[in-house]
Amino acid sequence: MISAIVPTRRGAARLARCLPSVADSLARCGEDHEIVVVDDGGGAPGELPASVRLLSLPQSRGYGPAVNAGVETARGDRLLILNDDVELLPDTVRVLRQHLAPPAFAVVPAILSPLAACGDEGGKAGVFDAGVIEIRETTARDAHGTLYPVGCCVLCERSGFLELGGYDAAFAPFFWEDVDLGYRAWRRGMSVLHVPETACRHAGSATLREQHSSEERERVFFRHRVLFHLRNLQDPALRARNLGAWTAFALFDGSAPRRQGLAEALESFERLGRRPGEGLTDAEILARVDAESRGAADTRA
Amino acid sequence: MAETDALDRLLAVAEAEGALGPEGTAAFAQGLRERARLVLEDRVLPLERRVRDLESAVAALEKENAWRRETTSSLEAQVAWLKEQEQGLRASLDESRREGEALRVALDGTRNEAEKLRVARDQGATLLVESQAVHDRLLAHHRHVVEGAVRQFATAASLPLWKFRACRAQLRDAAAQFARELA
Repeated sequence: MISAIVPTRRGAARLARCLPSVADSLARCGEDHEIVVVDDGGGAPGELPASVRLLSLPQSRGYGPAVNAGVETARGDRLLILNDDVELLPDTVRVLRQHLAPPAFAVVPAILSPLAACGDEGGKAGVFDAGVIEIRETTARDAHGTLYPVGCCVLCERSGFLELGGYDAAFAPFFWEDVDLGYRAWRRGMSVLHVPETACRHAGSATLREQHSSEERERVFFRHRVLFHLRNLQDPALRARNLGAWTAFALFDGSAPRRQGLAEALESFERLGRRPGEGLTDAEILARVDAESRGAADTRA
Repeated sequence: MAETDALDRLLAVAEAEGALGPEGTAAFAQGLRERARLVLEDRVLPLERRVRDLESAVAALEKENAWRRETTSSLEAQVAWLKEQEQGLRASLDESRREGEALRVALDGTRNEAEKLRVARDQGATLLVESQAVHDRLLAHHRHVVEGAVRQFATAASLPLWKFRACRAQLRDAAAQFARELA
């Protein structure tokens, strides 16, 4: 059974536009399914179809915690995590389901979106450059490894999601929770696949732009970018270079939101500390993702 | 958290993890150096671009100012020439006015002369008519006298021969009468 988890905040119009495509794609996947809309403290999300279950959170906790709350109530053994502004194609869920098999923990389609320079948000590779893991877009025709399951549309095993502890609440309210989840999955030997064979459409950051200023978004993005590295990097040399990189930001960056974000990240890190390092090394993770990306890229026409 | 605190805490983390120790320093410095270059490029490149844009704007303004100066100078020269032309035209206009006045005076004189000539012509015409009438009357009178003389001569000529004395008397009368008319 597939449980679609759709967190939303004041997204009545977006849900009205997108949920029908989700219901249709689920209906065509050949598996039992349910749709759980998680209202993240925004009030009534408009009129929902009778088949949709509504979980209302008393106050907003952010994207990751809202998804985690929805997963707790979900009945399915597979999770389809969706933004409220994502429209699915009729075959999206069916094709994704075909590719979701061990060691793949999660699969994402081509995510057609204005947020991606190449037009597809789904494929990501990580390159360690100037002390930081820089995330690069990758495109291919065939299914290939991707650094993380982009949170706006991902089909994953519920067991794997729970084994990983779900989205880390430290990355609330938004940004980098999906990167963190994917990196932890790769660390444990799981994989994440990008399946360009099918697609979805993502309007792109609709809620964020409406409800948060650009300065706040920049601050939170940078905070979580720093926190992701501090929490996850294990290799001593890479950590040293990474700390040097953040020091460069502290010394020379002129952006007040980024400097504030850096300070907040350090505060969070002091509380949370580093994650356990069992599993693949950082270099192995990046190499595996890179190898799988390049392999699929070579198959492009 | 103040910015200096953030830097201090960052360095504290680095030290705690050995990134500032003998084995970690090189990597720490590498990360710092590489990222600092990118951060500073991000800050400097827009400024350099802005400086280039400003330099272009300044060059364009200087070009425009030079053009303005040249145009202003040309316009001033044109204004001076126009003023000179205006003065010449004013002088010509004054001369023309004087000539016009003289012509008007001459025209008035000519009109007066013409009027006089017209009056004289009219008088002449009247005199001619009167003269013609006198001439006609005189001619008629002379014709009448001649006709009278002719009749007297015809009468005298018609007298018979033995009335030669009467004929001679009529001819003497006719001659006396004719002499009186011609006097």
